[in-house]
Amino acid sequence: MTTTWTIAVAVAGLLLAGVAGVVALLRRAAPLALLGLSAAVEAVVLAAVGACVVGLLTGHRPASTATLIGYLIGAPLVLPFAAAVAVEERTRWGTAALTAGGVAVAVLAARLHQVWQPALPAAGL
Amino acid sequence: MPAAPGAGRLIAALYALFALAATGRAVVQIATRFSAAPLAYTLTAVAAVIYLVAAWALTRTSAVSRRLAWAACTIELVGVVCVGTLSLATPSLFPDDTVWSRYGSGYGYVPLILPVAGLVWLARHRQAPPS
Repeated sequence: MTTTWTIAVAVAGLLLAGVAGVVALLRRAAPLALLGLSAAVEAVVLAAVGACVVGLLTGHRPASTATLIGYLIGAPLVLPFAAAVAVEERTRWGTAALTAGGVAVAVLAARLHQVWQPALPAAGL
Repeated sequence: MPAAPGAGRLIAALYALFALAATGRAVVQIATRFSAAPLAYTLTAVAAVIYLVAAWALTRTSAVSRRLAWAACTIELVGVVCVGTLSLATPSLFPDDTVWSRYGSGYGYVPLILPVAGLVWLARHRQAPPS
């Protein structure tokens, strides 16, 4: 995805990871506000995925469209799953799952930035 | 001291995340360019199945699921150590990366840490909690 969206998603994911990490270190179950923050980060993820879909529909051609689509499907699934774990596991371990989810979202943003790049003309692929 | 039961949920959640990553990777690789690196792509698919089994089994408490969790974590640890060593010793075997290449360095070594964490948790948490 574009650099602007990559930075937005990565910062949002790392913010969630940091806040959830502190709450987990305090040995607390995830408070409602943290689940709200997760939802806000998920909104950023969905907006970025939407921007990528619009880019694809309007002619952007990445090096591997299949790989990009795989990441576009996978990325929005991470936080809802992590939030479900945090809701079901009302201990610091459930909160830690949100930390992992935030880190994963940031990593996925970096990978999406890589796979978004168009194929090099010289590569012939 | 027994490990917290909830830690198993975190480990299972991380396995689920890696199941998603490996499944996506395997589907794309096998669908688009299987012939380029059949061994690497088959291994990715195998890893995806093992991650799925581990993620499911670690959240269950029956005797069968515990055995499955032990088996999945053990196979994964053996897999990541063997493939990690082979990928360094004989890179030509793996023209493209798997989740286990170079001990999972492409995934922050989580593929190496997860089975160890899973096995430690299983060993410490022998008593199935009342459901």
